[in-house]
Amino acid sequence: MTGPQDDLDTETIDEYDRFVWRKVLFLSLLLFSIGFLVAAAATIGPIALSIEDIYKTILSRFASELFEINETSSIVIWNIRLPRILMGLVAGFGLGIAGAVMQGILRNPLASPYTLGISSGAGFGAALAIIFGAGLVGGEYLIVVNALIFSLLCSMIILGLASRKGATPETLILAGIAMMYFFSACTTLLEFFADPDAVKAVVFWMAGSLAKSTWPKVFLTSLVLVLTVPFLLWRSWDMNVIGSGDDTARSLGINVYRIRLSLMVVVSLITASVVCFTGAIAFVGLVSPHITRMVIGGDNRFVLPASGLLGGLILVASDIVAMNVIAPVVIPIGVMTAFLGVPLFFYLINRRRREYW
Amino acid sequence: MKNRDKLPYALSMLVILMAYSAHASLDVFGNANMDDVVDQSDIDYIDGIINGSTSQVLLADSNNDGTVDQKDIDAITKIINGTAETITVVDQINRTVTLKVPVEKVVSLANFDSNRVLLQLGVADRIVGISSDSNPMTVKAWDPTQEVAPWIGNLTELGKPDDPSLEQILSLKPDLIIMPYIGEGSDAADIVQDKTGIPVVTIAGYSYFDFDMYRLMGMIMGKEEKAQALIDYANDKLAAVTEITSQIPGSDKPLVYFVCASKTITTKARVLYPPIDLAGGDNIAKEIAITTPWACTDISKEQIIAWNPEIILLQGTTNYTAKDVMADPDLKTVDAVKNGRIYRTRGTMYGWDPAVGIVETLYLAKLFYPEKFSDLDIDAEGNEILEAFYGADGLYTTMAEKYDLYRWN
Repeated sequence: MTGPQDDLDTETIDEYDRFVWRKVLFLSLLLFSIGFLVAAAATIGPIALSIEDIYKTILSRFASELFEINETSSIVIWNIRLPRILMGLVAGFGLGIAGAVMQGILRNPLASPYTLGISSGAGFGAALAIIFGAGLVGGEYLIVVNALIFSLLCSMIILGLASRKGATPETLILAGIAMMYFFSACTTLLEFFADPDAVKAVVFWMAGSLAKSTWPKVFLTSLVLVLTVPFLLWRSWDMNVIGSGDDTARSLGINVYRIRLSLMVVVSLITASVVCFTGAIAFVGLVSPHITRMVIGGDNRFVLPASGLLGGLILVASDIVAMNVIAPVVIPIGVMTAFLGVPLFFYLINRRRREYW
Repeated sequence: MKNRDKLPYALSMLVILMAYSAHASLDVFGNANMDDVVDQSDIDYIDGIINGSTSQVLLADSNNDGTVDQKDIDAITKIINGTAETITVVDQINRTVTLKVPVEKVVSLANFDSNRVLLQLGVADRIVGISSDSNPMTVKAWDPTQEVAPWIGNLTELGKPDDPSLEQILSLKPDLIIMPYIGEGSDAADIVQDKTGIPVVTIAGYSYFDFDMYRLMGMIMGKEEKAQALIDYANDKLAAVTEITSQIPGSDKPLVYFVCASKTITTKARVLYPPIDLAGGDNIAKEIAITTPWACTDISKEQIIAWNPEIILLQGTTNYTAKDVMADPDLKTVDAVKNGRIYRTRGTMYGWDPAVGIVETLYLAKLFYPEKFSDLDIDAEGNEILEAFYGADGLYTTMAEKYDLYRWN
């Protein structure tokens, strides 16, 4: 004896199951694609190495007595290809998840490390270091540390505004965009007076690059992610509640101000730790969360990890294209992410059937 | 190089050659037979046009009035006698410019290129204003103009070369403004000329060894003989090297990787640098198709390993040294690193200086082939060549110190 009410319930439950299934499927698909792309990326490069050589070289690190390998393939795989691929993965993950969190807690589809000015701040720090050779530390990490300091400074200013009473998410976005323009103007001013070689170096840095990836950099960025991502995932349910409005969230017992502030601090740190090594890679942080939400909806418990994985996937794929499309010339990675990401984004916007935001 | 890679390279070299050969003469109205000078043979040529025995050419119309007639012969006679009041030239981006001669006051906006060529022609005292990018005393790296003509730094700075302060230019009342080649299709020169009413001539600093810039500026400044003397001297010096290096078969030439001036990275390749080719080296990055003669392009570190150059050249103002490159674990399988054949060069710094380019050609030839050039004394030759252009002794010795060039003694 089934009434219409029961039918509806079964249907709703079925639909919910399918929806959860869809999310799990999307996550698995992302993981599988990343595994495939990383494996493929390791085999592509100007020096022709067979797949056998490559995996022998990798395995020889763990059991060196079992395999005979030559020095060149060892250098190419271990010092050049793997750090680059993994840095792409880690950086993409960091930017993707940072973008998702920023959009979630500010309830604004335009929020991203780029539009909040954090990347521009880092760019200005790097430009200072490149043009004047001046900064708080010298040597190899001069540019990196300068970029880190200025990206954190930029976040601090935005957070300072956020901590004022009555600051709304819109104020933060506007403040971020203002910061972006301010630091871009500062960088342009520096470039205007700098000698042409230094200007080229700054432009190169602003477009982003994975060329200087090394294992220590990969480990440092990974460490930041390992320490911060669990916290973000733990807070993802709160983000869902904030998504329904500050007042609603407060009525449900959530300290909106404190959560927003703590999450902003964490994602600023993630962004800074990525852009200080890779330069300002545009677009990944903005577009990954959107694509993710279009596919699996707005539940942040799934959006955060999926957006991170998608970011990593986009960056690794872009890098493969950037390295090979007119080899031996390498196209700046930031250009490639936009070229690959924008058409995909437009396609998804056009075929979207329901409001996802 | 694989065979299929050769086509784009061949095409790109063809384009470059065509682009440069198009300029290989003196483009002044009156140079009717289009050789390197304006002389009696041009009058004969125009006589031929008037009689109908030779074909009509643009440059025969020396007074630029649209017809070729007796007036043009009169104009040429005036140019030859040095009594001409105006001349019409085609500048290095094919703009036709008529200007009053003699030129007494020049605004030199083509950065170090125009400062240098005027200095080398002995007319730097006619410069009344410079671009803000070309003050020899405020730039970081060393340039011969710092030693020879530091006073250029005291002249009025007029802003960016492609967007100068027009009112300040007018206040200096110059006869001529020299502007740099900025890019195909740039109308910066026309804008400045239209707004100030002062003739603007554009020069292409990066024309390497074709010396058109010298012929053009020599003509305009009334220093044709000086210009021709420098060109002949330069060609003699270059011929002394290419006499030997042209005998070397291609397979014996060392593979050279030229790292563009870049503060911190080694993965930036210079695609075209003629001193390498003249000195008998094989520039390994030349397979990359390019559009600009000064192009630098990003490559991957793996590409350096794949190319496996025998010699690595570090340009000018890098922050790292040959030692740093040799210590790079990623590059330890590269021949140049294994054999310690990593050297600094000055390369193009603040534009292209043919004087330094000739010295570089000798320097590179000796680096590439120490035995063949064993009796070439680079210090003495370098000082002599730079003195011929700049009129001061010891410039190479200073340059070698400032740029940490390889020393044989």
